[in-house]
Amino acid sequence: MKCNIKEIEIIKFAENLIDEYSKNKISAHLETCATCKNFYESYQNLFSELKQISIKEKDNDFYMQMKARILEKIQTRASQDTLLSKIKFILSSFRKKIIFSSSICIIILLIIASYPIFKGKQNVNVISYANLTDSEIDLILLYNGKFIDTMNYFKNNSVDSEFISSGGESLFYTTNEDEEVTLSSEENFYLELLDSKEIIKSL
Amino acid sequence: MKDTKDNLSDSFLISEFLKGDDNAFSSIVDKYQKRVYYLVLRFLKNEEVAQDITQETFIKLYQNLRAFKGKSNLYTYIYRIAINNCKNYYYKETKSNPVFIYSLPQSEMASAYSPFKTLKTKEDILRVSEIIDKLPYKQKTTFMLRIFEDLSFKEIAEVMGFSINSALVNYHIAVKKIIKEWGKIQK
Repeated sequence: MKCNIKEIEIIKFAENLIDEYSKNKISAHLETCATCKNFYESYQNLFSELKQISIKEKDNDFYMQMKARILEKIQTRASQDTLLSKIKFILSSFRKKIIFSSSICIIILLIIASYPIFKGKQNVNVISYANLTDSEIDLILLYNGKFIDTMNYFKNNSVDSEFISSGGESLFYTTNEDEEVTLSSEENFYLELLDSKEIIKSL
Repeated sequence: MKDTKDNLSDSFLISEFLKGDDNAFSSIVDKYQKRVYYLVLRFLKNEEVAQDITQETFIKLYQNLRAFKGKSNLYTYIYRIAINNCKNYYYKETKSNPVFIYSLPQSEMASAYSPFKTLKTKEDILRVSEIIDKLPYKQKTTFMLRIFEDLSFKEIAEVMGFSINSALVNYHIAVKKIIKEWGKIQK
């Protein structure tokens, strides 16, 4: 015969969570159904036996110390919170001023950082040089950190001119003669390079 | 004196705390720290972690007690904080090897009518403890709160933050699994 009582109903019965009518019904059922009776008894025994498994006792000192630590930590956190709230109060009082000054600083920093971009200045580095004569210097050049070329820098004092050459070919030169010249971007680069002659001289 | 302190009602202690009396909070710790420590220890089986979580539970209680509206019992509120702390540890931390936290039961607990092999030895207790530990979090917690903390299903529902029916269903599944697993071990 199939049992129509669910196990959860038996737990409710054992836990006294059902009304009188259902209680009588299940009680009568347990008298006749071995499966349900076995489940009910297993549950009762599981409950009563597990309840008796106790944890090793700790002495009063253990709890006194734990309580002392709890109260100490509460005090510490309370003082930290007070400090934090003071900092927050100060920050909130000067909030507008701080935001304004920070914005100004950021704008100034952005202008400084972007200055080379506006000016179109290239980052030319001389990483090595060798004096060949008084007026000729061998250079290894880096442009924006990348190797460009080995070049020669010449200065001709007799005609007061200076130029840079690579592989025997003159790339750019300047003189002191007044003449209007429109420079290409490449020429501008070499002009920059010549400007760095101060570095060459200081080397 | 201690008895008097322990017998002070929770609502009185809370109202004194809200008036600014920190001794009232100290009394709350006195009253509940042992129960919380045992609950956490049974759950995580690590004494050091249980101490830390008990401390953290009361610190959180101190921080949140002003917001406690008294809709539930104070101890279910405390249990809820403790269980949440356990849950965080349960999911986040790598489980350390559990230690044997139980005291051995009295020999007279063995009952002749029991279909169970009675829990007389350390090995028996370890086995049943392992079965409980393998249960999913909700089933394990519901079962432990009912069996070891003697909470009603209404209280369990408050602690766990779900309905009484969910508490009953989780408990029923846990009971069924434990009886089944324990039966296998006995064979």
